[in-house]
Amino acid sequence: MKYLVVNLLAFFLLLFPAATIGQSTIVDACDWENVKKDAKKDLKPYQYYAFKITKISFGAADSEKEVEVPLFMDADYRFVFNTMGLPQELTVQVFNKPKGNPQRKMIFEKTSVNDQFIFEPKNEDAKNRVYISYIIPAAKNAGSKGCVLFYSGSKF
Amino acid sequence: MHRLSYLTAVLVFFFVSCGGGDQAKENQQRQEEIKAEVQNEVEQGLDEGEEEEFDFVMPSALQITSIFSRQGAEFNKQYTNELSNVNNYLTKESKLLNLGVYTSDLCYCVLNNQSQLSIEYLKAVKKISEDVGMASIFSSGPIFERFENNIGNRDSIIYIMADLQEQTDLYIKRSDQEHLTMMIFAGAWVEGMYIGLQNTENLKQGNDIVPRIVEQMTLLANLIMGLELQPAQTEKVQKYQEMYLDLRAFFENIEGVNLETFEYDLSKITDEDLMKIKDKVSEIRNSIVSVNS
Repeated sequence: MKYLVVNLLAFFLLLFPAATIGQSTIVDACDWENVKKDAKKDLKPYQYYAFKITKISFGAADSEKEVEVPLFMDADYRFVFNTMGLPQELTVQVFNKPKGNPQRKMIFEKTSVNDQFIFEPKNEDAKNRVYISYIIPAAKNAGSKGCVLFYSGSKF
Repeated sequence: MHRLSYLTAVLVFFFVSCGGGDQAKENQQRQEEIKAEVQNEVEQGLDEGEEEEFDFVMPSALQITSIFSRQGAEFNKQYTNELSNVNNYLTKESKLLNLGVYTSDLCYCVLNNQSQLSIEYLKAVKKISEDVGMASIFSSGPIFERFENNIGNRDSIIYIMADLQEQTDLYIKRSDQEHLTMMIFAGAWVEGMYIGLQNTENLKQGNDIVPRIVEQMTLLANLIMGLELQPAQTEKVQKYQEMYLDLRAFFENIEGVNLETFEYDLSKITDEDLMKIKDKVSEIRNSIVSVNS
């Protein structure tokens, strides 16, 4: 009985620091290879145009990342966003003009995590290019990171 | 029994804290990498919300050539790079740039229903892809069989071309060599423009092709940025940076063009401006396809 107690004590004493190490690790939730098939499915009937994986780090304060996407006249586009690889939600905004342009207008906005959604920019809203802005809130768990998968298709 | 309890405790500690064997080492290594990445981003101030990051996507060769294929100009094989050149590019930069060139040529053939020639250019693209270590993009599926089986069906071929582009993008992402995209794009862009600008009858103020040329020219800033980001800044890479910069500078100085806002007054772009753009594009393109480049 005495040996059993000693064994159990040793077990818990040694388990504690190991568990603590586990809790302090940084988790990268990005697993784009596993979700890209779903994103590609949603592109149909558009044909593949481009894809981008944007790595997101949730820090101590809010931050932002912007991706420029060139578009061509006479073509229609579909954007598929997949946020399955995020540890917490962020906001996706799409603008028609770059920052600083007085005509900059938001043409799409969605706050998302563990989701996949579609946006099809209208020709009159998006001439020449659009700007995808990822608004990244402060971290709920310090040091967490992930990615947004952006798949786009076109018809011309 | 004391020995047993000690051994039990050590084993428990080992399995719980490390997860066991090589897997544990890999996990630990990955954790260190992630920590270094986060630390790097924090040091750059990104986590303080003070800086914003900027990135961009580049269109495919198919998109570039498709824009000019609507102009109704007759197919002319002389506009494409010689197939026999494919074995003669020696440096990695030349091979990557000409991978882009041959991809645009392939798209030009496909969009103009040049079935047999399309297959020849597909072979050239495969050969040069293998030369730069990207053979796996052709092993992801029976691309040649699909291509040959669908010859004559333009829409299906275009879908296969888009799939090929996707496989290339995926390979580059998986191998963490995104800088290669920019070299390939630099070749594809200039070949697409070169072909599109060959019909000088179209290079007149007010012609439908003018806004398409302007649209393409606005991609130059990111193309140049992509060349600046090449990890190996060889003489050749710098030479092409200069040539593309010169083209951009000329375009930027045309009255009515504002590349900061991507706004332009087409009525102010003259026939002479268009001819000058054609000459500068031809100079870059001919230098890239030259086997002595």
